[in-house]
This record gives sequence, structure tokens and C-alpha cells, in this order.
Amino acid sequence: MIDNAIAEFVEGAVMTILASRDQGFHPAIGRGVGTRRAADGHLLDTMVSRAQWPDLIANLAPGAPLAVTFVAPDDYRTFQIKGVIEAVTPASDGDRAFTHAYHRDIHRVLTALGVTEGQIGFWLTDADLWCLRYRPTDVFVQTPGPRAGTRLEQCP
Amino acid sequence: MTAVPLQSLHACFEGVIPSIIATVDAAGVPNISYLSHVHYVDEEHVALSNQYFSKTAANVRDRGTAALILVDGRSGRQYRLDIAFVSSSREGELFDRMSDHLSAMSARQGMSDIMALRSADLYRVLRCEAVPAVGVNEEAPPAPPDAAARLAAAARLAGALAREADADAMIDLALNSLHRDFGFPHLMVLIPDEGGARLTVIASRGYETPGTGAEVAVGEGVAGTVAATLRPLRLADMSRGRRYAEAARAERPLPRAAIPYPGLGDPLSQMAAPMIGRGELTGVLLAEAAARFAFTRADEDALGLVAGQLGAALALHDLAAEGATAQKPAGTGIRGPCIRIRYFPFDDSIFIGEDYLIRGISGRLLHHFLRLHLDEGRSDFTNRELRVDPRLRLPEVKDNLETRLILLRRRLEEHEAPLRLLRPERGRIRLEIGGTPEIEVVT
Repeated sequence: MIDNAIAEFVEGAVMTILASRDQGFHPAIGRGVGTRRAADGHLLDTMVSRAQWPDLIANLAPGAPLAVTFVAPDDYRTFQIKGVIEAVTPASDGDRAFTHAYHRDIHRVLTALGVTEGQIGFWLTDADLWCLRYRPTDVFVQTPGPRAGTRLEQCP
Repeated sequence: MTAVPLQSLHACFEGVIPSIIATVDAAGVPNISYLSHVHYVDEEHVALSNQYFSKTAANVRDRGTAALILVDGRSGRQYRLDIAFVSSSREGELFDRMSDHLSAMSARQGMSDIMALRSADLYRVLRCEAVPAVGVNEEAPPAPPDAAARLAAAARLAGALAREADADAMIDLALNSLHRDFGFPHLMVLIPDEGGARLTVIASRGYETPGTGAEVAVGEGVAGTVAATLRPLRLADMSRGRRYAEAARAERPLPRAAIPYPGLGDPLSQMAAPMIGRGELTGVLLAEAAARFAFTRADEDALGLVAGQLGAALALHDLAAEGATAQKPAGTGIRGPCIRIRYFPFDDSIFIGEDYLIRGISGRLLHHFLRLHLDEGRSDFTNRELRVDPRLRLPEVKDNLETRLILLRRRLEEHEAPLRLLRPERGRIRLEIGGTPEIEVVT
């Protein structure tokens, strides 16, 4: 189970990027549009548009490894969570509502920083939304600087 | 997804929106990280800055491949690339350019040392495709600027500059053409002082006031950084203050100088190129704009070409403009109203009445002209006699005398001073005075 402060961070208005890999170990990238705790905080759910990131999701089945990096756009605080997939399911109505709340929050934060609508509109989507449920195994600090890459905790 | 030519992705290489890199380690665990900057190298290669993303670097060493997402800063469009590692370099032009860009971005955070570039890593692009845009009104992408036409225009301008015999006119020709034909909205030429600590505006276009004589510090801002590194620099979107704040602080006037700096208060785009002649910095050519993405890589190359020609031409002009023979006393009578001049030897600054005029070598030259005018009744001088006069203490090797004279002439004219410098012919200077100077030396 990840630390409460980290969990609150990833549930906030943070930019989210993900990587999976195929059987040949070729990486695929995607962007997440909202993350929340599940199963009493033992698991995390991250929402992803399959229409936009088909390769990322094609690699993911229960047991597959996943890397997710979360960045606060205003101060570049960054954490990378490594995890193992528990389930990959089409988003429910509740998931969609959750993603829409994330859309509003991140949109407000980014526009306040001067990011334009055009820059946001291309990835802030709910099209063909899927929910990735995963069990965190490691958390790394990746805030730019000398501590980047430091392992913060190893989840049991 | 269809293949996209790498060279069509100009706006992805501006470092405006961070890129993303994913790798896989030997055990099959993926890693994902933001990248501050991906540099376009050629149609098949990109370069990544290796600062501190050590897990990424280790994975690339293991497996040799990575996936990238690039974002077009103008449109927001995303592109996915598969890349294969080619080589890593710690020196050379690519390394230097990437290092300059990184310094400009990281200086404000006081992280210059920590974020120093370790190496410039070259990758071959195996695949480049657009990420599907979902639920977004796809507008036609803006037509990419015609790079070849830009460079052709710059080459024509360089040719015209080479044919221009007069250094003063050469500067005007360059600025007028860049302003009118290239559409660069705000431009200035700055020249270094003798100590190499300051840059002084010698000419400008597109500002409310020309600001001739205004000063900025070497090492600060885009112009100051270019003067320090002797390499061109271009920043495409300075609105994200965090990353560009140091450069975006815009060249601020130094405290002593009373001439308002003409530059934009809040430029979103800036680029500058060094003017180099005979291996030395003769000036900096700066262009800026209020809009983001005002300048492309081709614009930067064009500016560099023009700056190079201007720098070489000014240096050559300095060599040639010796003036034929020493000048006889002109014997013009001194009359008219009194013009009160104050001269401060400690920094060679000159005040006319209460108004600051100029300092440095240009100030020393004006004091010299006025002194000889009062003592010997002279109004005509030659470059040659100035060079050998020990009182002027001009540097022996590279005095940039011609540009100092241009600066002085322009500043007097802009200030509407009761003094004018005329250039009756190459290598000659004539002082025209609308009164009787009275010089007070303030020590």
C-alpha cells in the first residue's frame, strides 16, 4: 500500500504518463486522465483513452508490468510508480464522471500556467475510456535534480 | 496511423511542451519519464539531452531502443516515435547548442550545475506517426515556413551587405531588410564594450524609442548569453516562465545607464546570433516578438547568416577605414551658445547639460574630439590618428573603432544634441558643433 501523501498527490491535478511493453520488450506510451485509489488503497485506477493510446492498452493484461509517472505542473514534483496490472476494463459511468472531474481540475491548473486550449485539447479526452487497475510495487522520486531516480519505498 | 516526415515537426522541437520517453529494462520493466528537450538533427535523427534520467540511460544502454512522444507546441498535436541509439557525444556543435538551451532554461532555478548537460545522445528514428486526435476539431496544420526561401533571402541580403561600403549604412540595410522582408517585428544590434562586460544598443527597429546607447549585461538574457557563448540561441515560447524565466527576464538596463532599454517588456519569442569578425565578437543581432513561435529554425539560421556577414564586414571595415592623411587644423571659429559638457574619466561617461549621453570608448572619443576642438580649433579627424593617439588608450589588436564611432554618431543624432559627427569620407570624422563647448572634467 502506498504512502497516503503519495496517494493524495497522484489523485490530484497532476499530469500522468504511462508505459507498457510488448512481448518483445518494445515500450508503448500513453497519457492518463485521472487516477484514484481502489481496494482500500491497495490498488490504483488510472483512466486511459484506448482510442488515443491503443498500443499501451494492447500490452496490458493481468500480471503485465506498468510504469506511471505523475508530475505536478506547477512545481515539477514528480513520482514514478511501478506496478502490476490487476484488471483492464471499459470505463463505467462512474469512471467517466470521475474522469470529467479530473478534466476540470487539470484544465484549471494548466490554463493558469499559460498552457493553451489547443495544447490541452488533444489529449484531455474521454473517448473510448478504459480503467487500468494495478498494484503498485515501487515508488521512485523523479523530481528533476540529483534525487531523481531515488527509490522512495518498496510496496509489500 | 500513417508515417509523418520528421522534418515536418518543427514545432515539436522547440522545447515548449515536454516530450515523453519510455524504455524497458533487462527484466522487462518499463520506465517512463519526461524529457526537457528533443533536438532535431536531420531527417532521420534526433538528439536527446542526457542530464540525470539515469534509469532511461541505463535501459537504452541495455536495449538500444526507446519510444518517444513529441508534442507540437503550436497545435497540441502529438507524435509517437520509435528510436534507436546511435552514439553519445560530450563535445561538438550539437552538444554546445543543446547545452546553451538547457542553461537558458535552468538558470533561474539555480540548477545550472545540477542540470548541466552530461552528453548529447544521437538516435535514429525508426518510425514516426501522429497520435490519433480524438474529439478535437482538426484544423489544417499551419503551412510550414519555407526554409529554403528564408535562407535564399538571407544569402541575398548577405551579398548586398558585402557590396555596401559604409559600415553605418550596412547596419541600416541589415535591420531594414530583416524588418521589412523577413517580417521580424523587433530587432536590435548591440556591440560589446572594451571590457566585455556590457552590450550597448547601437541600432534598433520596431520599438517606441530606438534606445541607442542603452546597455545590457553580457551573460544575461538572450543577447547577453549569445555574447558570452558566441553561439546563436532561440527561445520559442517564453510564457512558461518557470523554464525560461532567466532568459525571459529580458535584457534589463544596467543601473548606471539612463537610456531606456528599447526591448519588449514581455517577449514570448526571442532569438539572437553573434556577429563575429576576425575571430572576435563585434556585436549581437537580436530579434524578438510578442507572439510565441514567431521564429523558426530557418529564421534562426537566416539571422545567423546575416549576423555573420555583418560581423565580418564591420571587422573588415575597421581594417580598411584608416583614412588617407592626417588632417590639417580646420580653423573653424568657435562661437555660438555655450554647451556645457561634463566628462567623468572613471567610466568615460559624458553628460550634455544634465543629460547622460554615452560612456565607454565612445565617450572617451567624444571628449577627445571636443578637447582638440577647443585646444587646436580642429573639427576634422581620421581613424588612423585616433588609433595611434595614446591618450585614447584604444586596444591594440581589436579596437572596434568604427562601431564606437557609429554608436556615437547615432546617439548624438537621437539625443538631438547640439553636436553632430559627420563622416565626409571613409576613415574621416568631422565634428559639427552648434555652439562653444565648455568641458568640466569630474573626478
